[in-house]
Amino acid sequence: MRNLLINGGFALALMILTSIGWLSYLNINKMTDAALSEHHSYVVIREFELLLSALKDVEAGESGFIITGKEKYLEPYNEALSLIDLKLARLRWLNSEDRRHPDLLADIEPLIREKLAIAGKIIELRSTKGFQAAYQVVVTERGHELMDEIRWWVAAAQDKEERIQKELTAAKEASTDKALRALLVGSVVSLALLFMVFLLLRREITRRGRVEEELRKHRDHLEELVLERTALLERAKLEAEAANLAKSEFLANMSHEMRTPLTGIMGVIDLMLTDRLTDEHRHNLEMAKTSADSLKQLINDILDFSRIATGKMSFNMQPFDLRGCVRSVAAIFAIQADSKGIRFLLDIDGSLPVRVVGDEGRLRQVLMNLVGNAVKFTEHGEIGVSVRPARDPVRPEQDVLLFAVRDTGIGIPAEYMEKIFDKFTQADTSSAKKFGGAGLGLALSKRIVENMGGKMRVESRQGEGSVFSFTIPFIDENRWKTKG
Amino acid sequence: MEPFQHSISILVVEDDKVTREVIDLMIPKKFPNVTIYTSANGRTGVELFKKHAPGIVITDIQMPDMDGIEMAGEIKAIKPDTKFIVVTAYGNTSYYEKFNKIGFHDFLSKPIEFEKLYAAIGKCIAEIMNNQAGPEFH
Repeated sequence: MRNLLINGGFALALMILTSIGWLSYLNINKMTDAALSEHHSYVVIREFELLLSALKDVEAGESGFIITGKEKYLEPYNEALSLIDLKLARLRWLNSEDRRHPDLLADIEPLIREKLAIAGKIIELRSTKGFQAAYQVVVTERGHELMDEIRWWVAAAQDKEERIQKELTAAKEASTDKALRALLVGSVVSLALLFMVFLLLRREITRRGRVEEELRKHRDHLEELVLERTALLERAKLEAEAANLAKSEFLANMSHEMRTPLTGIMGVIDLMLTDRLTDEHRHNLEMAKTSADSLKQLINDILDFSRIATGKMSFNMQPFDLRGCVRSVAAIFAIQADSKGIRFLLDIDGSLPVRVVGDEGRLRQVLMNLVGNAVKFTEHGEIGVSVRPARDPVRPEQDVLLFAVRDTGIGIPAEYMEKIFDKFTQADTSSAKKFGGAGLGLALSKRIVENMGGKMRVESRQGEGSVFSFTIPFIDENRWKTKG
Repeated sequence: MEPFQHSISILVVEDDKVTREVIDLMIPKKFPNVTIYTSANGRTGVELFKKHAPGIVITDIQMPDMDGIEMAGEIKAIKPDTKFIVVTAYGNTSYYEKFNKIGFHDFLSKPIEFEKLYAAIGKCIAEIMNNQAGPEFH
């Protein structure tokens, strides 16, 4: 709206000023025309005066010659004759220039010609036949009346010219007046418009300045606020990270500290188991050993977790016998599976290299965990462990080993599929009671695999079984060697 | 193998009393003819070594009054072919690498799996006996 006013006002003022300019130009043109025609009228009127005066000279010369008969009176007469011709020619030309009225000479020129003809005749008679003859003609011919007639016509013509001129002048004055008024009104209006535009612009400029100032303040404030918040968040993040690190370090220290007494406990159990024992005592000691083993596993897992959290998990890359590693894990659990009446199938792809470079210990840890879970959660059916080569979907040039551990166990309910890799999670608390375990194994396995550059995923249907699969990038030992 | 076992002695350096005693009692179950000396820290460990010159040293790393690494360095200076079996609760790589520079025969983590410890001791004894027996065949 404000912009419309400013632009509109400015455009209108411009239009008015342009019109005023155009009108003034037209008016000046008109005034020049009027001045020219005024001059024309004045010249016409004067030429008529001169014509009349010349005619009077003719008459005077004529009279002088008639009375005296002296040739010297003919001199002004002859001069006047040629002057009359001149004036008539000039008036004809002036008349032809002027289209405002009909030829004024049309009525006058024949009369003059007649008058001059009579005058010529009288002068002829005076010089050839004397005064009497000439006088007779003067008296009889209508020379005098002609002169009066000419005078009258000339006066009429002059009058006409003057009247036309007066009308023209009046019209000119009227239009000049009008133009002046238009000029005045236009100027005032456009000045007013320009002033309005100026006021609006000034107000707009101040307003914008104020808005900009406010914006700037707001932005400064916002920046301040953002900086403040960022600093707060940064500090909170650092504190959280420090706390997390402290927690991880505490856990690492704890797991080390717990290891010493646990070593003592397990050592004593082992020592006692070497003794001669009653079956009952042996059974009880075996139970204590199982518990101590669980505690050892838990402590190891916690330590691994804290290592991953503090970025201290290291991988010992060495060439190792891939098949041997997988078979040794399978051998441990095949016995357990057999005792539960479950079939155990092992399938190692024949195209895999014999020895690969990687961290055998960590691979064994992950496999032990997954196969151990499969045996733990399966009551009948079968367990299958397979290894085959694959390609990394993200980096196709990278060879990966694809491990899959398949079971026909209890499976995982759909709602737990997301949480299955979280720390301390089992499908539900009742299964924790039934199957034992802290729920660290899967979470740890997944992180170990990821730390080795692989991926772990699970497919499962409750009541039908699960397939845990993971990839691990590997290098064929032969190529590793040639690389140096 | 049996006739030579009387000449083998093992030094066990471990600050935890229970663990030390368990090791002391467990080794003879597998190797009855081996002589065992025990120490609770690195310093007395070095003294015992100087006195008895055992062929095998089983040691912890973290101990008060001279740790396992420092002790191993001193012992290696005295007798470079001493076999070290490291048993530690700290399985981290910096210890492993430090000890690796000095040289060890085996690196086991706690809690001790005695089957592994027995295997490690067995290998060390075999090597020692090979070296002892070696010159006699020439």
